[in-house]
Amino acid sequence: MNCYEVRDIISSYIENELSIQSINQFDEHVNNCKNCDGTYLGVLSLITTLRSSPRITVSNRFNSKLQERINNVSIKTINPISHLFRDKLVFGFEPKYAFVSIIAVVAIIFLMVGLLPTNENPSLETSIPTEITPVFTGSSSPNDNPGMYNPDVNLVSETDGDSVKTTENKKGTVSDFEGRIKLVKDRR
Amino acid sequence: MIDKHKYSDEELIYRFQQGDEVAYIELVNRYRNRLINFVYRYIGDRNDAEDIVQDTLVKLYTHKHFYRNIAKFSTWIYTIASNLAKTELRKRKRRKVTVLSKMGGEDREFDPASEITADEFAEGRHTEREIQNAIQSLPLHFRTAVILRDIQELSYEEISNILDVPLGTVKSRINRARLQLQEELKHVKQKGRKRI
Repeated sequence: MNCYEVRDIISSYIENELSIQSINQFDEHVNNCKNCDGTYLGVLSLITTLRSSPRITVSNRFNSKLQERINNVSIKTINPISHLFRDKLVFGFEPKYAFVSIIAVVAIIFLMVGLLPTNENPSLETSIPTEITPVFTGSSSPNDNPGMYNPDVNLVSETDGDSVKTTENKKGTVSDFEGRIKLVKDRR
Repeated sequence: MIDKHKYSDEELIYRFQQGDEVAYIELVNRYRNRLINFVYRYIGDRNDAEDIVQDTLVKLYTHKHFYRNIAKFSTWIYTIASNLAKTELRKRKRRKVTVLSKMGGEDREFDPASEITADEFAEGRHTEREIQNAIQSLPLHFRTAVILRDIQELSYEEISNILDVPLGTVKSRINRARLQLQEELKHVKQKGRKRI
């Protein structure tokens, strides 16, 4: 045991918290080291001094002053809800954290529902043109299979000029159309 | 009338929570001097210490329902006093008020002072002042730990609960605080020996 180790366990030695082996090592070192012996005796004496140091007492006016303050102070009213959940856990959390979490989850769900696209959206309704000119592509005419869904059929509004997308669709449809006419011609 | 030795602190606070104000008075009588010694050693000013003890006991009165019977009452009340004392020190630091030593004033009340001679009394006060100065020079976390252990004589477990730090940390802080105090007070003892 060296001096640093002895200094680390001086309090444990004084308070009888060491194993017999450690006590023997401590004794052996302190008997041969004047410095550590001095430190040990100093700490021992300090503890005695502190424990026997004079104690102060409160002044004579203490109780009357306290009484006055208590009379003036308004007793803090206890929140009945927080008192109800005192000492209890909700979903493994303290009540306040549990409630905050629940509110946060509910808020997120509402936000997500609000962001989902719906058909009942009035802004979409207004953007649907009243008159639609269907542009049919491919070999089949609209009268051939009136009830069948044709993925090649592009419905492009001629009246809707606000949307960039719609304009792009228009251009794309026209060029596709021209290309297909060329193909038909070539085949013929 | 409450029999002083009949009830434990925990029983008294329970009775007070049920509305028995006599139990509160008994708790005040039990703790006022213990608390003032703790706070006085901690902040080094008697008047401020008394104010803090008053605040602590008012808080006990107004927040009685906040005590839960999972810890010792002494742990709870010391924690309140310790937090208020810390706040006071923080306020002082902010105000940058240099508190000169107000010790040795006329209104000091020592318990054992009546039967010692003037010389002994002067020597005792001198040593006392040196001890207080040495305690004040300790870092806060060492100071609290050593006061609670060596002046208030609380157990390591109680100190660990009050400071909310592990037992090992408490032991280490107390040991280091004692070593530092012993270094600070070495010259005082040497002076004392020379006199003898």
